[in-house]
Amino acid sequence: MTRLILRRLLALPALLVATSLLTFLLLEAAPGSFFLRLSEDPAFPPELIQALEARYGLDQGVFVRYGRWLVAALSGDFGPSLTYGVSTTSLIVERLSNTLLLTGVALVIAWGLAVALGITGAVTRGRWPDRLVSVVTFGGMSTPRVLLALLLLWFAATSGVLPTGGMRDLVRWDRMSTGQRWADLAAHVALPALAVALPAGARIARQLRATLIEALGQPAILAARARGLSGPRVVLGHALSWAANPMITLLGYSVGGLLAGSFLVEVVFAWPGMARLTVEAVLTGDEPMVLASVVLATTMLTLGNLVADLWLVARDPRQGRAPEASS
Amino acid sequence: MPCRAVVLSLLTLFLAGCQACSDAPAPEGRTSAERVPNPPFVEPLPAGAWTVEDIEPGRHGGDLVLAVTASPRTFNPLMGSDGITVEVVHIPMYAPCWRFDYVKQAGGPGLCAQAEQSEDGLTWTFTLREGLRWSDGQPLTTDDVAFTWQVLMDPEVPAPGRSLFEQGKTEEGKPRYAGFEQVDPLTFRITLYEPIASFPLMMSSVRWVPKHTLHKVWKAGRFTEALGVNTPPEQVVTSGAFRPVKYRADEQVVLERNPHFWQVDSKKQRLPYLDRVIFLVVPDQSAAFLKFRQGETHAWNVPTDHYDRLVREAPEKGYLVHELGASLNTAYLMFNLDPGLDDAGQPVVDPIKRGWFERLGFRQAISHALDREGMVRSVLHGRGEPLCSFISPGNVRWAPPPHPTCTFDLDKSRALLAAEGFVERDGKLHDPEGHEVTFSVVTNAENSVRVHLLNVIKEDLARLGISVRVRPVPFNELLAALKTHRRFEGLVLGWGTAVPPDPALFKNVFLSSAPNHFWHPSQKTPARPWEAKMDTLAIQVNTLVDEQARKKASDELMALFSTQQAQTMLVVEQAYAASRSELGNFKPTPLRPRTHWNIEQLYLKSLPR
Repeated sequence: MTRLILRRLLALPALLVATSLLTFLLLEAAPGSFFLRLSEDPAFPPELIQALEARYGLDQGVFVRYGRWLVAALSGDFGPSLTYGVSTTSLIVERLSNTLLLTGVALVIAWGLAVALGITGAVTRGRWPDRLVSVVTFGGMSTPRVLLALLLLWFAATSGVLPTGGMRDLVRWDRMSTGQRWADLAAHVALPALAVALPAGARIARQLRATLIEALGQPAILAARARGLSGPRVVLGHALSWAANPMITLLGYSVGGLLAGSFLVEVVFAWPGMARLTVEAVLTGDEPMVLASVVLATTMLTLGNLVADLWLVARDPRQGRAPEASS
Repeated sequence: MPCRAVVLSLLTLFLAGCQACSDAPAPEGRTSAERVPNPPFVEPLPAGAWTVEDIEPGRHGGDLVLAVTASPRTFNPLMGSDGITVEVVHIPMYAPCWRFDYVKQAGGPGLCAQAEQSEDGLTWTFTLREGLRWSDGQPLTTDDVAFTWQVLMDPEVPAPGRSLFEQGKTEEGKPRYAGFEQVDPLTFRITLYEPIASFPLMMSSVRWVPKHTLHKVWKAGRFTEALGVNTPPEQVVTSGAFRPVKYRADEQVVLERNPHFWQVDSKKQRLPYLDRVIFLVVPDQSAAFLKFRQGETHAWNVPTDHYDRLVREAPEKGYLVHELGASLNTAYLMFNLDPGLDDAGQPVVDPIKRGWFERLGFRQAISHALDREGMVRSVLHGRGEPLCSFISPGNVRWAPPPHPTCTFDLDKSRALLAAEGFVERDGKLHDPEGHEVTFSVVTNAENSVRVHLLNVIKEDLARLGISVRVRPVPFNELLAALKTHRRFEGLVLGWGTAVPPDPALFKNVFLSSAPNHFWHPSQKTPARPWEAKMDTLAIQVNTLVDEQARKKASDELMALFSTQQAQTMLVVEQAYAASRSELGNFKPTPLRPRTHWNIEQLYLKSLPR
């Protein structure tokens, strides 16, 4: 397991350099620049634009700039945002917990939903509950996340049951008790988390159903049934355990999928997370901000996958061994 | 699996808990019926306090809630000049030396009680009000003004306001700036090399910063980063009606009353009336519409596509919708007259096409062929006006008289083209050398109104036999074409305006040497006789002291612009605002910010219980 961790951690810097370099080159290839936009404003004459470009090192060659950024990034300094003039790290930290909250709630909903639907489909294979699960999961997978988010927003607006966006009731928040704040936060996170979770949950549910059906046909499960174990005990205690490994692998991927999905939903629901900051940075060409966001997202995805792999190895140590050379 | 679910649930609950408990609840009582100012004003009233006579005396107390589309970029008034920073930071937090009344479009005393111009028009002497204080209670004197000037002129500080004081070049070719002199704690003097019209208003777009909190930061070379959005709000010291108390990135900015503010109403009640102002960050206009409709915000800058529904529901929902006339955001079509070469030594515009664009008759024919009324109907759904001048009719003080070059008249277009030697054959227009008249026009794809306008232009010009290729491109690409490589034939773009909307600010467009003279920018000497005339008039508009003479020069400049069709102006949208009926002293205007330019005067007639 130690070797697995070391191997993954050693690969991380190379992955980060590759993704950041690719991002940097893509930003370079895009027309215009951050300060070109400022030149629309008569208060920014060409001399001032040049001074600003020099101040942020944008008058240097592409690879010189990337090299400088990389050296600074190695010491944890991702540079100042061109838009806000303050450290990108401080801007990201302010929003990261909000994105993690949304993704975390969505993860719980997606997996809760997937387990319920997957088991139902598997144990009622071929009967109407299974067919209903298939229709629901097919619908969940086929509906674009943005459309789903807009539909949920429309529901909120017409029903008045849940808030229409944001993360809290900003006007009354300061006067709420802690309990009221919990309730308010839960009400605000419900719909965006559903929008993030439903497509992912549907996908996982289909996967889980197929794996469980396979598991239920295994000799060990048949033996368990023959010993007289109850249906729920066979499914929850034995079949689910048998199906756990591929599901754990899927967990690593689902974290990445949910994180990416939450970016779209954050924009629709005005959720104050990383998405708006990153999207705005991409649109305006705020290079340091985009690079810092990409590095952070890559790190989170890699670490998410690492955690899933470690869990897998902990359950089944054979998964951590290197394949033996065949003679 | 169940174990993982438990761990994830706990982690999520922990994160939610962190969010829920991160701030302690504020004390109750802001909405009490007694309407005691909270926070209270600090006595005594400054000796030089200004009595605002032309407002309805209001009542203290309450929170005003407004939606804005983004967070401010900075709390530093010298470093931020974007629209949101002006709305959320400049207007409520930093008072100007000379105040601009958006309704009257006229200037008046602000932090400065007096502004006197010398006879030669080159020296301005300003006198501060007595007893002014920053929001932390420290005196506001000319020390702060001198410090602001020092920072502004520091070449290490890339402050956009510096260009306002640039007056030509030195012998070494470096920018030459006006001079500053601190006379005494209440008096300072600014000396110009050439007169600047409406100078007190022009210089008021630079807001002063407190020396006692920022001098050390500036000395340490960190002024550019000072007062960034990560600064604790309590460390932001302001001179305006409000000071910040809370900033949540992409969520809200909360301001509370500056207890040292220096204005009173006719009943000698101190301003501002409101206890707090809460700016909610709502990037999506549909979400902002829902918030206003549900009563979560008090006023809203209404986009035209939400106007009909808002008006329909107004009687039932109990709010007011205000029609403000033409906005100041205009749209135009422009041809590239630039004879320059690109990096490969090739002309940026095909010389044959540039030859068409250079002909006055061609440009005027294009203008007469455009059905602007139709554009208003089909693109703006009737919520706009045809536009004939560079200055929108919404700029009531400076809009010029109507000009005849934009009437829709296809016969006149054809006659003008025929006079220039163009002929129509087989439904296609050809130039005197037999080339078919066809060109491309770019616009930014993100702006649906401009893309629609361009499609209407294509249809209108097809009636003359002109083939237009419509090219929507990303805004950055459009800017690169406009500002860097200059490879475009025609484009559709728009103008906004600064405040005050004074034609002196337009010199960046009209002077042939200016970078925003987009049809042929940064000329060393005027390339065309009409541009030389335009230069002369633009300089007059900038330097004449007599307001009537300025207006005359401005009208003449606008008439020349329209006659020459340097840019073919198209349409202008109507401006609307909406407010809750309990909002007092609400005086919206087409200028931004439409809803709260007089935020210190706004008050709530009734408070929620």
